[in-house]
Amino acid sequence: MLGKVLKNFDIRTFWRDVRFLKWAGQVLFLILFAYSLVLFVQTGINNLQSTNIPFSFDFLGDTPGVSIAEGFETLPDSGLRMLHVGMFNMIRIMIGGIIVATIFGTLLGIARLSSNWIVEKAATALLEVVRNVPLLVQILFFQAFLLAFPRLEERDRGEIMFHVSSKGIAYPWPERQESAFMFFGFLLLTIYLARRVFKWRVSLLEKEGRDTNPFLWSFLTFLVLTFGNWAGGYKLMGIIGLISGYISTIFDSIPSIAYQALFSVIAVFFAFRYIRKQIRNTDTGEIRGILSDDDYFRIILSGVVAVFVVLLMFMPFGQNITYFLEGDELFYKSNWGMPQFFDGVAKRFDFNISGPPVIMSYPEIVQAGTTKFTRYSPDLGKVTTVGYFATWFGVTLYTAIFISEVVRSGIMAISKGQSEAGLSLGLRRRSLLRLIILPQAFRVMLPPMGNQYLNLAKNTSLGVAVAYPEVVAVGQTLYNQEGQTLPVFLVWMIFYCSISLSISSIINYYNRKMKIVER
Amino acid sequence: MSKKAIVSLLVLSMVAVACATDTAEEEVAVEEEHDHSDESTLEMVLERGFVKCGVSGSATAFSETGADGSITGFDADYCYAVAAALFGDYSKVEFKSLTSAERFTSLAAGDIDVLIRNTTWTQSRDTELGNDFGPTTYFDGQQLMGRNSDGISSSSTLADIDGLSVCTNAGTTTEKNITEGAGLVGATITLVTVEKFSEAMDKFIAGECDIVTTDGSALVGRRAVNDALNDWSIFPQSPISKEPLGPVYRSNDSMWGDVINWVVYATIIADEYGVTSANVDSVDTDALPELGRLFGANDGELQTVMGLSADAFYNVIKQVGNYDEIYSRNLNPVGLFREGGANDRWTNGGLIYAPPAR
Amino acid sequence: MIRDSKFFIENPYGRWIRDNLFSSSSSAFLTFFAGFMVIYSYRGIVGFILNPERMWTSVTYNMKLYMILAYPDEAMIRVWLSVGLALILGGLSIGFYNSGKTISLGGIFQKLFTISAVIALLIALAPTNTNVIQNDGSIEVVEIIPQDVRMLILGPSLVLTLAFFFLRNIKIKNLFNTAKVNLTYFGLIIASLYFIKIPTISLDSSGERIIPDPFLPIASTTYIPWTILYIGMLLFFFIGSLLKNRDIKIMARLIPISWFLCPLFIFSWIFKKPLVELNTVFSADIPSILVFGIIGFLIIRFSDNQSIGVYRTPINIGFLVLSIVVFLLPLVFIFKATMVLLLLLLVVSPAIATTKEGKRQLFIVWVVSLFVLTFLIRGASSDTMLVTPTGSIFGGFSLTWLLAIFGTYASFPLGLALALGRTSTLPVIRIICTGIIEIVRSVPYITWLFFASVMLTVFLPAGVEFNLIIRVLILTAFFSGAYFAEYIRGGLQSIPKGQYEAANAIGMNPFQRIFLVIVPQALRTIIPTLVGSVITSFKDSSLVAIIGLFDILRIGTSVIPAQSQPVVFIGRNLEQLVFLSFFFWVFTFVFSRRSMKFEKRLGLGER
Repeated sequence: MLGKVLKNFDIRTFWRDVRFLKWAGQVLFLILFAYSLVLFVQTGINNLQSTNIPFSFDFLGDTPGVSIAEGFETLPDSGLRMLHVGMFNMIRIMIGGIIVATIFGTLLGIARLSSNWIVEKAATALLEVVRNVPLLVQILFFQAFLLAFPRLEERDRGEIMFHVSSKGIAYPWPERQESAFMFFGFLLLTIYLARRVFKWRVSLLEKEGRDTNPFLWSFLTFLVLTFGNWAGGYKLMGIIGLISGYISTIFDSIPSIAYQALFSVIAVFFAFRYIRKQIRNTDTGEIRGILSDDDYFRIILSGVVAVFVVLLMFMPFGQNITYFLEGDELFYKSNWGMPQFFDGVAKRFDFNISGPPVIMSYPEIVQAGTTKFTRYSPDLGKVTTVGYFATWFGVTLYTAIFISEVVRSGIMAISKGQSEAGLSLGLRRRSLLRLIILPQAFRVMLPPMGNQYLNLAKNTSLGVAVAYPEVVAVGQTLYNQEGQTLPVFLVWMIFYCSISLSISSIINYYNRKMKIVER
Repeated sequence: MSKKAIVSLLVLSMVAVACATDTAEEEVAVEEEHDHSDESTLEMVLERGFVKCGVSGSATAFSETGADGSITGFDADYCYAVAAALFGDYSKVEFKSLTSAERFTSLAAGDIDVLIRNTTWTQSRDTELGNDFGPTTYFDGQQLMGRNSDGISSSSTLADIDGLSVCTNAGTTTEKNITEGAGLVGATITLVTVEKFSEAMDKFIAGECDIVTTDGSALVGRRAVNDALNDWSIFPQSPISKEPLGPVYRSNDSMWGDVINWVVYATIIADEYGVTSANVDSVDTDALPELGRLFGANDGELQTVMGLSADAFYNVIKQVGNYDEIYSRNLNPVGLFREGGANDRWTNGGLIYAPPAR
Repeated sequence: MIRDSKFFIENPYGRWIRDNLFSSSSSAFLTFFAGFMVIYSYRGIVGFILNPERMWTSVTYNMKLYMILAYPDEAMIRVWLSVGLALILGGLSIGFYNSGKTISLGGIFQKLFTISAVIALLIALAPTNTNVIQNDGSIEVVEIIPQDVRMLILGPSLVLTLAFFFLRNIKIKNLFNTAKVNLTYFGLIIASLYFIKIPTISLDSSGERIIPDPFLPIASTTYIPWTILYIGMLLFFFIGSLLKNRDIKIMARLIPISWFLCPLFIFSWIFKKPLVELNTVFSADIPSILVFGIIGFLIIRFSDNQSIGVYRTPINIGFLVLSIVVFLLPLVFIFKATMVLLLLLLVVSPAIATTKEGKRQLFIVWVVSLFVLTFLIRGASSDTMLVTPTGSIFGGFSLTWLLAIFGTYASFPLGLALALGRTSTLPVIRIICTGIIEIVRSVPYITWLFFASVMLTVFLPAGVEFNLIIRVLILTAFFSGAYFAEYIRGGLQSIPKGQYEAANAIGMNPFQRIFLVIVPQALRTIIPTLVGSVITSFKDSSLVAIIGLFDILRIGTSVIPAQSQPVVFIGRNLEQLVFLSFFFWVFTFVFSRRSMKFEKRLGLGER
């Protein structure tokens, strides 16, 4: 075949071959791009060297010596730990924000289509105000709003139900107990079982044509199992703990070279299979044997990736990965690794744990230290601090407003015929909305909604303006202490990229699932 | 015809590129002329005709931006003093307002010639970051402030803040100082770190924070402004940290460093002799030979060796004033006074001291 | 039931209330709930604003600082010229695009009735007392609106409401043009600058504050310029109307182009006062115009030449390579920019320069755009002659505008390039563009700003320095470019495949297909989205406050609360926040409303 190619080779036609030109152009572009990138990075490294602060990640292991306002640890002993707290704080706000913004945004969207004059006008006014003011100004404003409440010292000490002061908002909260993980593990199982029962009854209904009460059945299943769960059924989940314990030992006992070899073999194997698939796919039908540009590209890329993975595995980076899997090395003062993770799971899912999974706990105002000061007890109830509230409320409201626009346009995109058809079937307005309009509108709404979630995740970074210690604020504190701006920036970048990727992959998954099967 | 057209097009584009390269080379050459990496900052500044001074731009009484955009304050006055010494005209300053995170990068990159932005002199900043510090112009120290009605008094100690929430401003050494200080006495605190001190004060006044901590000067000033002398107490008596504030310049540049240092010393020496901008013209330089040397009465050799004009320091005092004037003009309105503090004259028990001019 | 009473059935107002507020029990509940919330928040806001703790003079005294920071006083005329240019252009377009919609006198009174009724209602609902926190932490209740004051305002507004209520049924045939009515309203606002007086901080000759503050007109120093600008705007409104009546077609093209160029012109020449050296003009600008003019002439002249047409692709590719080379060489910026323009000419000329008339017109357009481009770049790349204490002439609101406008202008071509790259069939380019877009988009803007402020200098070769504003502009262009790319990609995907095939069928090359067929259609579909993103970048520009640029937000939250001389404004940041929210709100609200109307009128976004 090669000889045939060479025989037909003609330099003049070759020069005018579009395929050659395309590839030549791309390779040229790639070289230029890579060259400028390398130049950029090289300059950066050189310049850093000359500013006496060489690029290094060592600050992750150093003790920052600065305490942070809130989070699961307020006096972290390493930079990594500190960033960890910041990330956790950011995710906390993001999840709370997404849930509330979705609910509130949907309500607002429906309110804007309401026939009630004052509701419609109030919703529109809210939209026009929130949409047209920078989020940063709004967040600063909500902080001022909460700070305008009276001081906590104005109120007597003792137990309270719900209280707002300039120190934050305190409210009752179901406190997680030892058995909570097992309980919620069992709950997930219960939900899955109830769903299976529902499907089974529905299929029975479709087969036999009689009313099989699928909803009632599944609800009863759920109720019975949950009751059993609460009464101690969760102990069943101890099996997970048992298995985790074994997994932990397995991870612990495999030597690191085995991992390196394993990953290399896997990478080469998959690359080989992928390339074979590409070639075989084109080996059928009319276009037999002709590979398109994209096919060539995929083949080359997969080969390169495989080689890269193999190389990486035997470099320090690969070594670090195996350390992580083995759980042997201390990772910047943190005892991270797979065995540690499974050990943790095993500890939480233990047959010996008993007692209720959650206990309602009420906030209390207690004396602080030895002085006249008071504060909300840190262990009882739940306290939302000013920074948290301002950031959370700001991003939630801002996102909710945009979600309401998405919802409104989604509902309006459903043709009027749909609701008329529903009404003529005798559905009530509420059922019409629930059964016909919203499910269809949801499909239209999902992609823009995903964008709004992404925006919300990114906007949490404005917490830095109201002293909420999320990952940007914490990172800033870190580089103010250590001077390592570039590594901190890389950490931010990796963190936000992975958050964005996870959100968009979840949205894409649902999008694919919800898509109309086009015929 | 067609071939001719192509050829002429190509030739033309070559000409265009050639012309452009020529002019570009000229521009590059001009740029190279401005590359002064080996030159002393002093020559560079004198050649440029104005001094670039890094300040905060939003630090009350030290360098604040007025309603007309002009920059005034204690630090800003020292920038003016440097300009007066160099050019005989105090207004030859270009201020750069910097955040605390970017100040040293700016200085290292040559964005500014001198940094006078209430910067604490520390070992790591002096050595590791490649800076040199001039004489301290203001001795500060971190303190805490709380309400009398909450049981705080000026005799309170760090142990009393156990369990309290404390507000401070970020980007400086304050967060670290208070964390370390509280750790030493075994007090656990909730540290709320905000970007700016004014925000920390908002949180303190509203009650989100029980205690606010930062440099003592800011606390005293703010207490005076809020008219809360009897309501708020500043403690502990001796600050929990030393914060000597002064000018900063790039290391290994002693020509330039000498100019900055001696501008500061000149204001201090003038203050020792009680020479102000009002009476500097009537000083009897024969009776006070040190002042004579300083103001260039006798050919001003000391100044000309430094690369300045003979009357450089005369101009500083004449146009900007002595240390006391600079201090009282800027810091007295916010309730900061020299008497009895660390910033008093050394003859009165303070720390403001200058080597002799001879 | 009350709902079925006579009032709610027969009276038209009663019927409206019944249908719109109490149509069902849940609706009635919502009415009360929403009404309570609205009134509660309104009373809270008023209590906050009128609290004696607030010191609103800190806002008014620093108004100039807010707008232009340290722009030199002797060059103030340039600021007014900038604003004036925008207003005059506004007047011209209002006059030219006047839809001829009319409103009757009754309609005007109807509007006035609504306004005065709302005012009366707001005054009636305003709170009497508010809380003040003392230094020791205790709370004091203070009266902010005494009953007699309330009555004093409520009375006249009620009288006015009643008067307008009856006047709105007036039967006068006269109809008024809405544009003229709106201009009159604007005139009333200008006139109010003379009449409304507020306490103003004034300093006597020795720099001491005069206490109590004397009452001066609301814009005591600027009402004369405003009046002049307003008169200019009126003048150009009538010129615009005249042009419209004369039916001058070219204005329809010129006005949008002027709007496009106006900010560039303002920023590079009027506001900046560039220091132009004749030396550089003669050595760079004039040669550039001459050389590129001749090249352009040749391209236009020979664009339909058959014997050259064969070599079109090599010529195009040759120019592409040449432009890349020009970009990499250390050339004056004018050559680089003009090279891009030349590429564009190369693409469009075969389609337009087919007749003699077409060639002539294209050549005129080419020369004019060469001159405009050179002129603007000369202004933008020269140093300024203005001297400010901080060395930067942009600050405050002018910086906000600079960031918003430049962010949009610079990010647009970048976004277009990225979008085309992402939809390209060439895998390497597609993957690189996708990577850039996704990475830039998934990291928050504020993180990029930190990158610009503390890290970008590290990555630049030694000797190359940009000041912070330029660094932020570069990063902003990238950030909004990535966003634009996604919008444009959406537009590109909405173009039916038939368009590509048709372009191929008539023998267009890929450049022509993209720039003459696909991109114009794609841009048309996404104009509404683009307007939205301009508003977003206007709002986002406030984030630069966090990294220490003196934009309007930083002045409000950190500069003014630090002022101790001549008047102590220390800690006055809540006032600034309220003012800034209102200020941003007015601008974005008006802007979005205007653009919506404009879109509708032009029929953009509809296909």
